[in-house]
Amino acid sequence: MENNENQGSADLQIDRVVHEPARLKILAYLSVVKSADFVFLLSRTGLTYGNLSSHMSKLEEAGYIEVEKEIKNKRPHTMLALTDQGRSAFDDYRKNMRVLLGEI
Amino acid sequence: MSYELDMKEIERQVYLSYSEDGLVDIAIGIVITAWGLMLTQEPTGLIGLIGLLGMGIWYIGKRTITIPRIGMIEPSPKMERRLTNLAVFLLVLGLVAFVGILLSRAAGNIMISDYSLGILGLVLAAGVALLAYLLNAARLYIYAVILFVSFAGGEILAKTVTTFDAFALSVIVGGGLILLSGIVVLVRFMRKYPRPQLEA
Repeated sequence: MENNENQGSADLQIDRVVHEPARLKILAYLSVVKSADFVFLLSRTGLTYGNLSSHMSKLEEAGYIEVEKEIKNKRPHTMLALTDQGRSAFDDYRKNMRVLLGEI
Repeated sequence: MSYELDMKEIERQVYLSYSEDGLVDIAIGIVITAWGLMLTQEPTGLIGLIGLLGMGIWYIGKRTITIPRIGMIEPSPKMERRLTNLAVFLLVLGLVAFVGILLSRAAGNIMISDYSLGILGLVLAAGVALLAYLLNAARLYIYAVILFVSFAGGEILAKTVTTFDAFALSVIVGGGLILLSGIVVLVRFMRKYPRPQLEA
């Protein structure tokens, strides 16, 4: 952390997977809970079903979230949770953005 | 210029949305109103069932109204600890009040014995105020005041008014106000969060 702040913005890496506004929202909400289902993220982010699915896939490919699908009362039910990697990526993104914008 | 995601606000919004449905209000209102009604009838032994009724309504409401609209979360370990601590605190508070009242009656302490229902109202109000703090729901602080005023006020009124059961009426009115407020909150919640159209 101290090193990052001294190095300056040139050395900072902004994770583009996290940086996308919709995905940033998803990660922010997942970071304050243990896990959340698809409907919760739909209601919180205001994204469409298709949009949320697409961003969910990107985050899962990056290893930032884990997705658990099951059938509940004969309906598909999807739970999402941040992985340790995802939590770390989110925290790093926030630190880097603070450093970057702190220099402007 | 600074950049900071307000994580405290995000967390507050997440957990607040689960108290926006008014079900806690309705459960408290029904329990208090029903208890007041039962005071005018016998047997008062059914009071224990009223608590179950309130919990049942809350649970069914969450499953059929809230979760289909805003989804479901598993609270973070931090929030789970807060909920557990609250439950333990309320249990201890209730036990202390109960034992205190029993002991004061045995010792012939007129002050506590005569105002035991007011003390009960204070304990209930403290519990609801704690719930308000935990859920970040400011309206629950108002319910705490209503509960205290209806219990304590009703007990004082009952000492002067003998033509009808003033205490029971006071409790019914207090519970009714909370119940009514809960219904309004629920209707507003259902309008704000319609059931999402999920694609197959």
